[in-house]
Amino acid sequence: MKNLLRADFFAMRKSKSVYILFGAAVLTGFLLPLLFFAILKGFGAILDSGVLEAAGDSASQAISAMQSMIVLLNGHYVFLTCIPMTQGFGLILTAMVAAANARPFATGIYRNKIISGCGRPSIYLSRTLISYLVSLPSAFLFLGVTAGACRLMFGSLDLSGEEWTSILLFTFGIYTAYTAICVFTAFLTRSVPVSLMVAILLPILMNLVLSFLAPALSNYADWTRYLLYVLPSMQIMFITGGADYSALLAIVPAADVVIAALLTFFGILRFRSQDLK
Amino acid sequence: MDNVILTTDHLTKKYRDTVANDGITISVPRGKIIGFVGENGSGKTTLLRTVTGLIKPTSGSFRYHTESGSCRVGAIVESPALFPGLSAYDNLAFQARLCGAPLSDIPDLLETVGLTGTGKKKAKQFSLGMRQRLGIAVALLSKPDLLILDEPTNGLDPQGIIELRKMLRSLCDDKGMTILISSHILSELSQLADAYLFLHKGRISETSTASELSEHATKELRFQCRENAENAVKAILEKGYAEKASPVDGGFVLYDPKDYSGILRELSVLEITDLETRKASLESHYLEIMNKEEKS
Repeated sequence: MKNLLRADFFAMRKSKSVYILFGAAVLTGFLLPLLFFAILKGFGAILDSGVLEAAGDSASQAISAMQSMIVLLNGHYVFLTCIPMTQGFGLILTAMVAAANARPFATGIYRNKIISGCGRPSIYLSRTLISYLVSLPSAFLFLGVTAGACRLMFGSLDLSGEEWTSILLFTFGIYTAYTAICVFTAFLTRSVPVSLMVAILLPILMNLVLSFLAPALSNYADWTRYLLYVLPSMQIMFITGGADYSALLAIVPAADVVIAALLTFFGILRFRSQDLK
Repeated sequence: MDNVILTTDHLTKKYRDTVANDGITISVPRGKIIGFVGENGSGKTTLLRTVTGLIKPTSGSFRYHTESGSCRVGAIVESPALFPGLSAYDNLAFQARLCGAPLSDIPDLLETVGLTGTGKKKAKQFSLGMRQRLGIAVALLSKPDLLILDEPTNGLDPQGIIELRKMLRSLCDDKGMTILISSHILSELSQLADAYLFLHKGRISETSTASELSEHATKELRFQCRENAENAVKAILEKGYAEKASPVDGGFVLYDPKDYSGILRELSVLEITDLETRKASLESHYLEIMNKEEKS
């Protein structure tokens, strides 16, 4: 296992896609607050120019909307609005994790590891750990860059300790679960295009289905709301959704860790029983 | 069992309705080059995959006869396992970490396979032959007891084939490595292997050493002439000077000739343009086995 981890870590260091991913984390983390900042500055410039006031009463509604937006667009609001948008970055991340774990089936690297005497559970676990070494730091890098950019552009973040705790724990939980899902689908499908497709479509489809299904189900049974809490594709919405953090904090990361552990367990079982070409 | 490195016991692999390996029981002698011979779909690759642990047998078992019970195996099955985006050195550095080999072994190995000057060139930019040689270097890095090569000469130019042959011979003779080779190029295999396993439809149809094969190989006398030689050949066969004959372009092949002077006497009425005697090749032997198998 130690040799496997050393070899996989070496391959990770040499992989361009890891650096592309970290670059994407920095870029998207900076661009999202910049977009809000540009809107803020744009509204300010329009109001300062007096163009709307000259248009008379008909523009008064637009003026008041812009004024409200300027008040609303502070560091705290923009940061909390950017976090759910991690789904955009999350899709890049999951796609890359899925591809990185499916590609060795095509290049024969897993075959070579088995021939070299590595056990299949060790191969799976090593790939999972290396995937976490990429996914979690890049997710937190995105978070850090977003927070830094918001602070830089809007002055202060003004986040409470509870908000920070929930954001950090939710990010950890969601990416823990998603990394395990991507590794699992990569080992299951053994195909780069299929695992890429699953990694990208799964959260989108789950979100769509659940956003329709969950409210309908909650009319019949109150417990069904927990479906939303335990499924990673929905959890991101609760980071800033004004939900009861103390209740969610106990459920969300725990559910994610359980999902990750179960998928890793079943992934290993499946990989052990499969023939390799 | 000291002289045996691997034994299989009734190894069977089934894929739904297809039986890829059907009760294969073999003993692989240590320190020899063993050639796997068989048509496409005869089960060669399945057998190699099974003994490398890539696929699980439906029934039966295999065992490595080493002190630890496990065996250092290096193999190229189907195609070399390489990182396309890494250089030859980095591919070997990955393998060195994987099998705990020192990085200092890499330059020598690169020299052995003739890839010293490739520098930072990525494996995906290599020719097929270079990839094959790098694959062999990867397989050799762990200093394996058993080297398994599936069609190793694929993509190699004639010079590369000769170098590979020399390298494998030296690994076997000097370092006592056991090498299993599956190849379609029987003329190539016949210059290398010490023993052969002939597979047909998932079963072992024959095992023999190279010397046994040579000893029992049917002799052939091939001649070409300007005239119709049918009457002369008929006379040769009737008088028992040869076992059988078959026509070839512009002449005949006489199998297992017993009385050369008798044959030459019968042929003296013809204007012979070419005459040669030789032992049946591995190819002829293989075809003979396949014919027997088909008939049975």
